[in-house]
Amino acid sequence: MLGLYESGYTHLTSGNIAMLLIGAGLIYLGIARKMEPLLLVPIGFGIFMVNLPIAGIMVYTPEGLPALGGLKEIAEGKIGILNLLYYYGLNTELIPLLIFLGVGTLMDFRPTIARPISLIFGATAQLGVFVVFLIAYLSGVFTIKEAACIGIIGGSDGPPTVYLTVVLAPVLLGPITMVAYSYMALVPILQPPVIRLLTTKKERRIMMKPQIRKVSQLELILFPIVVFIVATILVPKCAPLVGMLMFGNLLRVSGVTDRLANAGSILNDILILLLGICVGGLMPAQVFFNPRTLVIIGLAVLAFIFSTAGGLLTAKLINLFLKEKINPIIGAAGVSAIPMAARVAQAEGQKANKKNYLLMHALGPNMAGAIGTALVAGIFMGMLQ
Amino acid sequence: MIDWNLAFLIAGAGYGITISVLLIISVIIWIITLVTKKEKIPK
Repeated sequence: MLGLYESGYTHLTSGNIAMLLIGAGLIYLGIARKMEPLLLVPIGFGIFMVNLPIAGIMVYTPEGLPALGGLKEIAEGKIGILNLLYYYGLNTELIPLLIFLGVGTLMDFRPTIARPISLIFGATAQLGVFVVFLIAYLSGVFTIKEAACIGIIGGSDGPPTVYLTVVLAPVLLGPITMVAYSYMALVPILQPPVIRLLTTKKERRIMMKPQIRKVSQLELILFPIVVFIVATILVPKCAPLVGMLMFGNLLRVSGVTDRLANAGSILNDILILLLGICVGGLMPAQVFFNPRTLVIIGLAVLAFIFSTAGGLLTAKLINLFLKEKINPIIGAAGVSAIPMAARVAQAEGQKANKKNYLLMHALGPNMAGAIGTALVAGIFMGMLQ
Repeated sequence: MIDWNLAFLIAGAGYGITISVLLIISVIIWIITLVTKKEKIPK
């Protein structure tokens, strides 16, 4: 009988059961639907880990934040193993930064360099970040720091979102990260209606030459160096994020550091695993079932819509001054979500004109979006930290 | 208390800075492209 009272069964709340269902849903989406499986499966299992009562895998403060501590606190039973991962990985900002390094080793900036105007789409597609920041803050539901972290979901880039939220609003890290990564997987559903609403069929039919120009090795090497130096001089707080991204990319393109670039991409997989399980661990029922979480879910949709519109409308505006028109759909790929947003542009372009191959053109704004979101994170940190 | 001025200042300046920085970078990249192309011509 005593054993039954010590079991988790008697402590299981309806909130825990609902969270277990959400965790199962994420694992299902990851495995069966192949939606961001590398993240949704660990997040889903992390949710299981912290919603089975008395297991003590993650211990929280009364404010809903993970209790901090190291090996000594683990030995004393004051914290769980996930607290340790959170403390060393997220609280120190190490995991999102190193993931960005790994992302840099995987990114091919040739389409961006071949058409530098792509960088403008990567910037204007941050519109949703700032619109939703305003809505979230002016609604009175969130503080100004929390509003910034909710807004940056619209940048559709995981590491800057995690990095900014750890710094400005760690209590929202669980819901924000889960919403950000889930919605990134939903880009093929969220973007097409906005694209069709804001463009005419004639605009979507605009043909672009299938090939982009050849980019030299010198240009490839100079790109990460120029981006890092200029961005850091103008927005110093973006240095950790942009620096890691560009360092990773330099390793890739230098032609002499292939082994380091490979190590970066392997490191990326390990860190994504740790990030996923940590983020899942930040979603106990008492934190997740909060009206504010539902508001974040709604605001994130708005952020994606406005960001898509920002890139798209800029492409239409620029077309007014260009002799050889660009297909405005590629502007929508300025929301990062690499490479999903570029694939959406390709699919929508082909629906309007079967001869259209927009993928390479859309990858330019797509890559630029990653730089744009890292910049925005630095701007918010400079203004609000 | 909600500070409307601060919110609009951060949003406006933030968006403006983002566009300006990437615009500057795109111009530099475009110049580098022109310079490296010109260097290839004498060869």
